[in-house]
Amino acid sequence: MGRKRLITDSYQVVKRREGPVGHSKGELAPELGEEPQPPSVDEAELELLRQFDLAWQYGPCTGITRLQRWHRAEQMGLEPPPEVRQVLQTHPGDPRFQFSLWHLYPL
Amino acid sequence: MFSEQAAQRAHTLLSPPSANNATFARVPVSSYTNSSQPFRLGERSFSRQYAHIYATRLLQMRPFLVSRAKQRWGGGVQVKKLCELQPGEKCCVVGTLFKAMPLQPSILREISEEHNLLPQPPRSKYIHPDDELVLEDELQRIRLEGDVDASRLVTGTVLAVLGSARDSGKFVVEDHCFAELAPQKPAPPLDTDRFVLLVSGLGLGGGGGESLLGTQLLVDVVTGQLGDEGEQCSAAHVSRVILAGNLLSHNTQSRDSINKAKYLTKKTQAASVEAVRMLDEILLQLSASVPVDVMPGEFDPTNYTLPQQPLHPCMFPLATAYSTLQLVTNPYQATIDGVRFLGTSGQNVSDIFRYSSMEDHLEILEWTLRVRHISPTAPDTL
Repeated sequence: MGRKRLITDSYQVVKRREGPVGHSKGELAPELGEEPQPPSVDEAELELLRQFDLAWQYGPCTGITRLQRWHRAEQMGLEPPPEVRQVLQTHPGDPRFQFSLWHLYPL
Repeated sequence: MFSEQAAQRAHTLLSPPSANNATFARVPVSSYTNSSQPFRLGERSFSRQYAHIYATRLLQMRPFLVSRAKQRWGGGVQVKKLCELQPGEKCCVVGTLFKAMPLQPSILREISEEHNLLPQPPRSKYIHPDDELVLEDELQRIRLEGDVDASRLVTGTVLAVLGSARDSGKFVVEDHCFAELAPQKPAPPLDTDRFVLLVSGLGLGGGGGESLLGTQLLVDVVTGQLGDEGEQCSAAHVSRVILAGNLLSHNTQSRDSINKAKYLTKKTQAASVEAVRMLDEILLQLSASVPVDVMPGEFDPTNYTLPQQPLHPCMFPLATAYSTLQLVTNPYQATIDGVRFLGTSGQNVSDIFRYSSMEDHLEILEWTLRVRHISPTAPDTL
């Protein structure tokens, strides 16, 4: 019989990488050699729309599309940012843009 | 029939029949615009939450209330949001009222088995001395105490309160005000006397065996078939008839046909079918001679929650041949001859009556004008 089979045998064996001169406890400074990917344009726009959803001045965000909420805020004179409307109009039909943050969660 | 100013006496009843009959032309409606489009529902979506209604209500009423508060308590009064309140500082807050009523029938309490409660019998008033008032604005809520009469106010009113917050977390109120009456457009002057007849509570299909004499007399007066020539002339001044709800009596809504099994109720017709047939005949006589607007009421076959949609024209096959018949929503708004009419079939007033200590229905109606809202209790209990 071989040695006792441990459950950890089913995991990959990954050796911890040792830094130079024993800095293996954890690094506070960012590692050199790897830059974070520049956020894509889509990500920036989605972030803008998410901030619009979470702004409390324009009323509740669930249950209606972002465009409807933007028009409602404009009619009541709250001056919602026009960039949000432009973003919404450049991506018609894309559910990630048109519907609110909580769209996938029922009620 | 007509009051002293309106009627003209002609004393022609006891004279011998004349060869030529006097005919009176009804006053034509010079201008009529139906402005109740906001009350028509396009698509019905049942996934919309009430938070949108309350948020829109508060946002729209806030400017009126701020200007009214400055008018009443001086221009220097500070209007703050609840999140900016400091304890002990006197300021004014604008928000929606919520009244927590222990006697209010709550469906959760009824079906909760741990209380073993029987369903509450319906009472005429649900107020209690222990009712608490809570003021809510967009983000927070705070309990109200002090110089505010909790029994008179109902949930959903938007108001401005003047007072200060205590360390205990409650707000002590010194004074409060509503968004009083809106500025009115002056009514244009009219050349002749014109009357609009408001009819309500016909209660057809009551099943009590009573005859339709009263309703038939009314139709005859309006169409000019009753009374002497003076009164017929006065009847010709009625330019419009508005039937404001409760056309069918509540007996037509018998629960038996709904609760019994289908095989027991197969041969019986709903009582409302017969009542609607009678209503159709009455409307036929009325709309042949005067423009009629029919508003649905509490027991009429349309949706239950406000705004009630117009009755369907297929129910009135005889009367819809006339274009003078108009089936309108409840609440109903129109401009008739330059005078603006806005009315409901009364469900909002009876609802406020149930949840507040005000007794007189006219007083409640005046109060809704002062609050500048047709039915503040609307999504909550109506």
